[in-house]
Amino acid sequence: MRSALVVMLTLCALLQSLFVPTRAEGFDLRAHEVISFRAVLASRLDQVLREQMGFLRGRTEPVNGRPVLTWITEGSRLEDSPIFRVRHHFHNPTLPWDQAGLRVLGVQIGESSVIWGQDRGQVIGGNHSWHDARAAFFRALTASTNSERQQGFAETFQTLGHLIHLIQDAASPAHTRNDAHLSYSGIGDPDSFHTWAELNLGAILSSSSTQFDPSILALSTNSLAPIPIAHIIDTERYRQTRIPEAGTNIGIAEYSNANFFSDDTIFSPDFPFPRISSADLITERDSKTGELRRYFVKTRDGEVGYRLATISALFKFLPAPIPVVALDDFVLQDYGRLLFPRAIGYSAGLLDYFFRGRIEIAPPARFVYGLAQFVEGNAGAFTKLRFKVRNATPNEETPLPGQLIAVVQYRKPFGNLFENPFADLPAALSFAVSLPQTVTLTRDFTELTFDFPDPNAIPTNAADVFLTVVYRGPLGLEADAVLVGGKDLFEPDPVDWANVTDYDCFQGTLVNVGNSTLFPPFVPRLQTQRDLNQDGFGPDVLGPWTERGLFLKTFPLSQPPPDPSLTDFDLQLPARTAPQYARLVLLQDQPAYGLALFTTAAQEVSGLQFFNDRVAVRFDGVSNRLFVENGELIREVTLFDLYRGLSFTHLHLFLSSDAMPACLPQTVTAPPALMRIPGILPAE
Amino acid sequence: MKRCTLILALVAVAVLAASALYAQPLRYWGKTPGGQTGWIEMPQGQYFEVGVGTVIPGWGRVKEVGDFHLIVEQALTEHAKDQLQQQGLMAYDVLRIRIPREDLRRPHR
Repeated sequence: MRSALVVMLTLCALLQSLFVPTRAEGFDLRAHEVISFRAVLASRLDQVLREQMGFLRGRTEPVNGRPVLTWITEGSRLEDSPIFRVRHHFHNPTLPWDQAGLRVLGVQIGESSVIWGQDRGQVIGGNHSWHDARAAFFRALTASTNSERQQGFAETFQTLGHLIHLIQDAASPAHTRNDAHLSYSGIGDPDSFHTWAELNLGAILSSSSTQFDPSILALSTNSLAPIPIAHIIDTERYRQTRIPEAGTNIGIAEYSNANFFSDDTIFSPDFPFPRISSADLITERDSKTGELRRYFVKTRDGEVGYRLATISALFKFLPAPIPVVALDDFVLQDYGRLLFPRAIGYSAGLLDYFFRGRIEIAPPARFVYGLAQFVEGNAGAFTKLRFKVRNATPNEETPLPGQLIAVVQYRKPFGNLFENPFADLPAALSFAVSLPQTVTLTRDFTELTFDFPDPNAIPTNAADVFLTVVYRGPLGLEADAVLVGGKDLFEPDPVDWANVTDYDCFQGTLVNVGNSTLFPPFVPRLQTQRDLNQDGFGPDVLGPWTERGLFLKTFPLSQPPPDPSLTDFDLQLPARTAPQYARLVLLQDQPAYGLALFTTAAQEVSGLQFFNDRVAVRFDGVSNRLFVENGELIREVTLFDLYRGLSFTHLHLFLSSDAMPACLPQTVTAPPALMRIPGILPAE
Repeated sequence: MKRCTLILALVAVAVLAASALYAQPLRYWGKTPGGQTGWIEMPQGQYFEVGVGTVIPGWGRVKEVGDFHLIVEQALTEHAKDQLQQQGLMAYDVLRIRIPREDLRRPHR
């Protein structure tokens, strides 16, 4: 009689599921959101977003108007919508994956959640598989417009939320013991663990996090779901051994199936464990009511030390075969204590796996990443960047052949930053995307040059510059992975180099030796204007000087100054006289660096000469960037100054004589203004 | 050379127009022998000894006196931030200005 009743009810439920929305979700929606929230906090996501992707605020960075965290928690909620998706949220680890989905009356009506998470054809409710997350991630990282990037990231993070929902469902025994728990508006067969979780969100919020053993991601893959994340749910070991385990080197479905019950599968013959012999029957006194309650406490066969089930207090009054074993609040509390940490930690593990790929960026052998000619109005651009990259992904040693793209993120100021470093910056970012190249990444650094042709060149007038490198290709057991590396560069740096020998200094008095009428070259007894104290000895002032064969080379302060030459320079000037200067704009990554200067020959107007002059100086990197410190958003700006009409941040001066420094402050506004001459950059 | 020590104070100042900052150049001449303070030069040949917390009128509060640079900060008012946001501009909480040491700015030979 009872069995016929059960069959009829189940048939009705099945028909209902086909035509009328029902509820068979895992945890209820708020519980999923809270577990996902905890998972994001337990993961490395915040660090990755800040350090590798240039997200100012990490997991709270707005993407399409909402924080990253919100996209993920919302995605974990939306995976149950529409309701038809729910039938794919079950996985029975005692069966092969192609048979492990939800079954009703022996008929499989849903795909295993392990396969569903990697199914490219999800369609109803949208495509939210691992592959979709990867594709959206790559699109976002390599987008050239802010709107495309924002949309791509929103899809990425929301899809990750969908994926961790499947892991969280696999922490619910109903979803791993084929317990459909069909209900509608609370009527029907709701699952008590789901209900308890929704009413006890505090238990989830204060739960710890238990991550899986990373070795499960290195297990042999199953062609039905080849991405290693499948093993987060099922390592396939329990199906082979039929031995319940409690370690972290098993899938979460294997843990929840073998060690716990759902309402309708208590001591079910359909599942080998837990069994009666896995537990001891004990009596406890309820601390609130004083009532004696009897519990099956798990003492063997996998996880131990918790209430597995209770015997109904009404068992003496209920006619057989009405079940006398149930899951009360104390049992569910114990379930939560063990299952929530894994739901959180295993979800965090999936997020960490998605973002595991790491590319390390280092400066090139020449030190500077980019060199550009200055263009009037600061309208120039970097069309090439050169730097070193290597695969720095933990535990992934295999050389990786794939596609590499460099992306520079920056803000376009409202004004010329070389004239006004305080110019306003837009809230929206701009992006310069390089041409792709095919590269095999190894553990060793490889130096590469990335091309940024117009209109994707990097303007020299840019603030808040951040470099990312994006790789797409195989990574370990994942055939189509995406890796990203990031480097916060200092902002475009105008290096100025001037000959100001049109002035000299005599006893603290500034002398305009560039005026050849007033101060012609000194000739004893014939042209003595430069014998200022008329003591018969001269000249008392020198200059102007004309220089030939000038070379400038930057270098890291950790190394000795190089010898700039025709074969090793960042800027070359064939000749220079007063009051000329040259400007080089560069990109580099150090707070300070060295500048080595070499002059082949210099001659003063009266004939004095020197040759092969070398000097090295220290320059600070130029900042015009935004960053978060102690919860505050800081804008950091390096101050510019003015010298003879030139707005500069650092300027090397060639002076007429050793006496000139004493008069240098008097020349700040001295005429004429400095005149820029073009220099020669090295061929790239 | 006039030497003064600016009064220690903590204030929040409105965002200054860039032209105002350029019109009143500030130069940093490095640390004093004791190492806790540094020398700044303001217009008309005025020199001041400053330390962490000193307020430099028109510039902000000294945050760091370093070997190679001086750092001053000014906090933006809520009104200033609102104005920036309304214009679609980046509204930050603090403006931090790095002033390189003067002799390193214009090295010479």
